[in-house]
Amino acid sequence: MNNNEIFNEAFGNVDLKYIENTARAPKRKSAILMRVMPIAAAVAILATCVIATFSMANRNKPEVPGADDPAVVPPVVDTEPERTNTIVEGAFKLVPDTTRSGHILQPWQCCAYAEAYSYYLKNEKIYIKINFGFADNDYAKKFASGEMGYPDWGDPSYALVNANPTIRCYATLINYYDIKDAYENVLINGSSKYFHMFDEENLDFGYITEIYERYDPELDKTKIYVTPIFNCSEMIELDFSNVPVGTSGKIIVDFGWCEPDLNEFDGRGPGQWLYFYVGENGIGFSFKRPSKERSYAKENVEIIENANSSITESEMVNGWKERFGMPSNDTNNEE
Amino acid sequence: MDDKRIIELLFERSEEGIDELREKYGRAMYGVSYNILGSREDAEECVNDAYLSLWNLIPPERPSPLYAYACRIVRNISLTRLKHKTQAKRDGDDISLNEIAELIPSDASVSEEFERAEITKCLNEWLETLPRDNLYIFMRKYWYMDKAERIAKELRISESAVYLRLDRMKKSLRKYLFERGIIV
Repeated sequence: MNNNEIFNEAFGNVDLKYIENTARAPKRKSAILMRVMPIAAAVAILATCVIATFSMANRNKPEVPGADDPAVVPPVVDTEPERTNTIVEGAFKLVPDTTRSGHILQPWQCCAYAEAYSYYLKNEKIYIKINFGFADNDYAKKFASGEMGYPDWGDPSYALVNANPTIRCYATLINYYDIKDAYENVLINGSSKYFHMFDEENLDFGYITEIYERYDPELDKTKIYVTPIFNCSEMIELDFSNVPVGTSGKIIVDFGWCEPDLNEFDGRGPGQWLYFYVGENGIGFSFKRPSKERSYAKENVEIIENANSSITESEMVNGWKERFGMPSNDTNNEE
Repeated sequence: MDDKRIIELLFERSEEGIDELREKYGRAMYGVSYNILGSREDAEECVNDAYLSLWNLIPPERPSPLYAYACRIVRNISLTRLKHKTQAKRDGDDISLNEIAELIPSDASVSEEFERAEITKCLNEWLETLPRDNLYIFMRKYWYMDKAERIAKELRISESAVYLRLDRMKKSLRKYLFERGIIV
């Protein structure tokens, strides 16, 4: 009897409870119920914050919003909250984060994409799902070129997994500010400060091929297009019930990561801003980053068409005010 | 019918016990066997052989849980049949067995000092350390011999994620076995 047969015989006789307990798939945990970590040290490390700038302005009764306002992709405000709607669809593309160059993250390059759904009426809680991906283009390219010395398994992800197997992502959503106390009114998952660490088991693994193809068709598809990506996802609940009408600002959601072997956290992962405006009739939300979109638009006609790239932040916020019935003569947010 | 009643029927030497067993767990047993053998006819024969084994084993055994016990028996019978088939074909290269072989590094060997029971005990201890999802993935892949695609579908994760976790678990298990001297 050879080694494998001995081992297989032993494995075949493992305790019956493991066989019984795996007869059916376990129920999946909700993202919200995932492990929530204390904020203490990590908050200090992270350079991430919510810097919310207020526009507590004039409270005159608004005019009826312009339904056909061409300047914005306004957040939809329905009489019934619809949690399956995607907001600002098309405004987000996977973005290679070139700002990371020179940082200790090299050769890793972080990519971020985000999608969101749901929000709306003033008194409704707002649920936003945010997905992030961590990818490594350099690695994929080296692998494809044979530089890494791995045999061709026909699946680049396999090489990535074996060469540098674990990335730990930290999702942070921090609502802290030292500007004005009023922002304590915005609660994120019931807290004014929120920090969430994903463990390895909460990470998914996939590819960013299709997303890349959408925004840069000129790339050499044979080398870069099949890029492994580690995904993490967070569902957050925002509570604006105590926030005064007329308030606008932004919340930053950041994902950091570290290699477990080093056990060294780096918060400079991909992040996403959520602009918001609290109107009298409802709350507007957008993930738009006008300057970024404009730069993409120069390179890709499709994005011009899909993303309303000509919008400025000012126009966006003013559009909300019209949409949500607030005057628009106050200054708007700035990054 | 609950498991206790089925076992009682078998103790009474009533063939109804086998009928109830077939009704309740026959499909799952067939699934285990089919995953290993990949042949409907062979799987059906192994399941029938397993019923005969259960008939002979109960009494005196009173297995609990019955489902897992029945699956283990049909798995062992199926693996034995697979071994004979591959030997007959002289290729010795069956995918199911190769997947199990992945668990032991090619340059390592199982220490002769250990009895099978000790290895099993060590495996039980390692399985106990796994989170629920990982336990499901590992057992479904290597014990039930399910395809990764199916496991991914059941857990609503990508197939790549299944392979990623399996890879990590294999490394973890190897380390565990090395540390305890099971494999050298």
